[in-house]
Amino acid sequence: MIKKVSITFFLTLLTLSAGKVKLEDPREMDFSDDTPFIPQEVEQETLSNGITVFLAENHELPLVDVFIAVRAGEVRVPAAEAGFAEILAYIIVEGGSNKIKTRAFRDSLENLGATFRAEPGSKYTDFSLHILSKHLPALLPLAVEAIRFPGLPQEQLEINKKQYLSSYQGRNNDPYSVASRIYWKLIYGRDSPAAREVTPSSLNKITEESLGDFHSANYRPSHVIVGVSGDFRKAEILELLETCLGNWEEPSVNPDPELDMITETAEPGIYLVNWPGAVQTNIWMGYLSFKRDDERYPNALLFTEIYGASRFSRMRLVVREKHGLAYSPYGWVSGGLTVPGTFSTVVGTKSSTTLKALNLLNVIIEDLRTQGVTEEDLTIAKESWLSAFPAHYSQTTKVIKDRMLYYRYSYPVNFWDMLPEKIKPLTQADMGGFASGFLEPSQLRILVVGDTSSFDGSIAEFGAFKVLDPSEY
Amino acid sequence: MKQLARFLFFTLLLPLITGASTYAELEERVVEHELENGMRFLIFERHDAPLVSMVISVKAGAANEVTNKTGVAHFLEHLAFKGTKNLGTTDYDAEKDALAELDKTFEAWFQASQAGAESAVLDRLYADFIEKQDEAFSYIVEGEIGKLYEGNGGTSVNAATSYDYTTYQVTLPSNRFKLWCAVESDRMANPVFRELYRERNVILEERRKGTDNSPTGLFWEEFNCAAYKAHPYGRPIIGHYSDMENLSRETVRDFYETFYVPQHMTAGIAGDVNAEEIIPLLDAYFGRIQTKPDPPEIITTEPEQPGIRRVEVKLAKTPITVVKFLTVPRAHPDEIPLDLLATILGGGQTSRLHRALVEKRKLATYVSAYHPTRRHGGYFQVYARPVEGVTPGELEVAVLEELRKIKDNPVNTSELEAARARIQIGIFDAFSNNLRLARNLALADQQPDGWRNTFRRLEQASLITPDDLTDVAGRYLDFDKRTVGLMEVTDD
Repeated sequence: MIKKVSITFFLTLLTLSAGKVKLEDPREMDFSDDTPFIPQEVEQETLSNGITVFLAENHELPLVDVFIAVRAGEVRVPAAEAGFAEILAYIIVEGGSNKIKTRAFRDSLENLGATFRAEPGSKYTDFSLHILSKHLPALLPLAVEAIRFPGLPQEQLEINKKQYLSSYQGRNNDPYSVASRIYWKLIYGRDSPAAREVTPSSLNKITEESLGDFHSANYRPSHVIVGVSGDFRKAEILELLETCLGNWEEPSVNPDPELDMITETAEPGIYLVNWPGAVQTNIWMGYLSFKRDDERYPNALLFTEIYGASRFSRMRLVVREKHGLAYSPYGWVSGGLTVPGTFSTVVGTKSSTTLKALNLLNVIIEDLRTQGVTEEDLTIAKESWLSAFPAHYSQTTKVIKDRMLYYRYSYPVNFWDMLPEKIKPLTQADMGGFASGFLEPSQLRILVVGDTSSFDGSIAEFGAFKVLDPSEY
Repeated sequence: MKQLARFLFFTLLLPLITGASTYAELEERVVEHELENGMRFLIFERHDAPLVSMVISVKAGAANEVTNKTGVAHFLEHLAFKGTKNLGTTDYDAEKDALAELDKTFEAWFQASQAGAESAVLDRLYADFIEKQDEAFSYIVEGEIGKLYEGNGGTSVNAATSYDYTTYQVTLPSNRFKLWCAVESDRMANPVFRELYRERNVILEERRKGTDNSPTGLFWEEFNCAAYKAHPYGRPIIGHYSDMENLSRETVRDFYETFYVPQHMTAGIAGDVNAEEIIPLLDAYFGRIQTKPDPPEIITTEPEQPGIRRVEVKLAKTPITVVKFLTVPRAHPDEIPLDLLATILGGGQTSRLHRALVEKRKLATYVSAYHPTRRHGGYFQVYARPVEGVTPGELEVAVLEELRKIKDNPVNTSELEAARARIQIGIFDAFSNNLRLARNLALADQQPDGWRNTFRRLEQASLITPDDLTDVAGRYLDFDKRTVGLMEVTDD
């Protein structure tokens, strides 16, 4: 349809043109002048003991970020001792080393405005140091020493345990948290390192001594990858890293084995948690997908845009905009790095529209499965993904972290850079084929957490369901 | 003493800071531009990647709302994504009439329901409303602004409402900068608040998610309301449920007409653009926003708090203790001393409260203190979570005991220097990514002390002495004028 208003608007714009600028209708703008984007170059070096180092200099600000990834995550910890790797990571950044004790360690960092953080993950524990560049020679050795020779002070261990205990006691505070916790257990298994939680029982098993044993076995140079970005000079940082890390020898003790990330997957079906008094129902549903090196991954990226992650997605336009049923409906197909990712959908809707929302989600999925995506879907999803590609690397720190991510899991370090060429040729038929082959409504694990007495019908309309007790998950 | 501190700053501290000259360089790189209509732009060129981030800050927020109409600033922010007279519609002239008819049918249904009309009457009126709504929907191009942005590689497409400001943001490939000019200037000049009744359901879901279905959300709302007797800072930004249910197009339009004036808008622009090249675009596109009268200022001031206010609720299994003292607005001479005091008392694991309550007395699992300031007043707040076996009330007593010690054990020079170091790195951090920088510039420009003062904070902090901190602690941390929030553990 030719829009009457557009013509009027154009005339108005031309009338209002200021100087030599011709005001244009944003829908008619031509941006064919895109130039190929090449991410900032990252240099890869190796220390004398084999530790891989990624370097990307940026001298605009007097800041440096150092990232140290250690393959010593919860995946090496039995379920009964869950929390071991996480707590060790926090004690390292909070407790200092066996030479520089807690208070002096913290004073040294905080007095200079530095931040030293741990992000424990299932496979890796990531440490990051953010400092003014002039403090690099003083603070990098300090942080590395804490990672290599942690002090593991008993007092700090007790503090960390209390913090975990406090979180555990509040684990059933609200329906959203409960839904999130149970969903990942349904998908990856109750004991999966990716889904399980730290319990009072597992906390009791953690001692200063056992932490030390875990550290000795799993914190080793062959498990370490380093990345540095910001205001430094290559020769100087390599010398510094060599001094701090290059003399780290591989211990004779074997590392703890890595356990399976997927321990069990719940049967497809409906799982219900009744939450009297809840005014909003949380719906989480999905199933396992595939790894990132699967040939379907580029399709999955575009599908995610079309299905549930963009402002033009079905979830957004239908569930939120058209029906006003939810504030932030969201859905995605992820590709796991070492194990399959998931096809997941998350919606929060008022109790009295629970079944309506479930029905709508079924319709959206079924429509995509049987009808595929439209030409408009494909065009906008491609444009969106390809034009936003530079944003993936908008900061030097992002480039470094990306390279470290793919390197650690033995993907090509430029894995992400190769995706545009795989996405460009995808056709409507390719996407339709992906949707019809991948979407399997019968495989959905549908978790509903809400006040059943306020639902707009019985959940049994969707078939048999199993009632879950949150205290058991 | 202050003269001595200034001397020390310039003679001793500055040469040690490699970034000291960089502050000046960074400030020098910010290009300031103002249109005839009063709208302002702060541009920071950075050519690392072909991206540019833009944030428009409108000096209007929830604090500008009035009784019966809470939540309208946030609702407007949502509706601003629904399009304009040009975007999001196939035929605005026809749609305009349809929207007017729609509002009449809604009003008829609403008035009848308020008057207790019979259900048959209400059903008929509601059916009329749905029919008119469907007619209005027939003109809609759904999600056109979102599609324009994200279809052109836009990321971080979002908006946010606070008490004092409403911000609209996006990051785009830099060759698409004029797309932003066209869309945003149109959105600021010609918004059409279409899809209003449907979007109202969305904001109600947002409220349920963040507040009504969340024990901690409910606690914070109760606590914040208790801290203000008169000032609108005590109202929830998202609005009261009963107000939100009834927000009308007229209410939204009134708020927009009154507060969305170009002289109260600043855009921060950071990234791969050339200021000289984009200024003509800014002039042309944003220059068409018509000047309007200055909005009314908020004249309500929070009266002196005559005593202690307490909120005690049992909503969850996570106990919380919060103690709040009202302080000063942004740019007040006492702002920075209070900031430094908050850092020393409760900023991180070297802070006094952490050492005393978490490490030494083992009463808390976590404690922090902070001092955020707003246009009409700030607050000094201590937040703590008790360990098992300690009640939130017992922890409150312990917090007060530790705060009291500041008088007998004043802040020392090394504590002060550590707090200043946080400010120093914080200024550089503000420049570390384009979106954050654009937001910081836009918001800083609308502060009473202006955006350039961002670069002066370290210098100002260097003039503060330990005595100054003892002084502000004595004047503002008045225990008889505190507001206390205690989240007790539920019984079941």
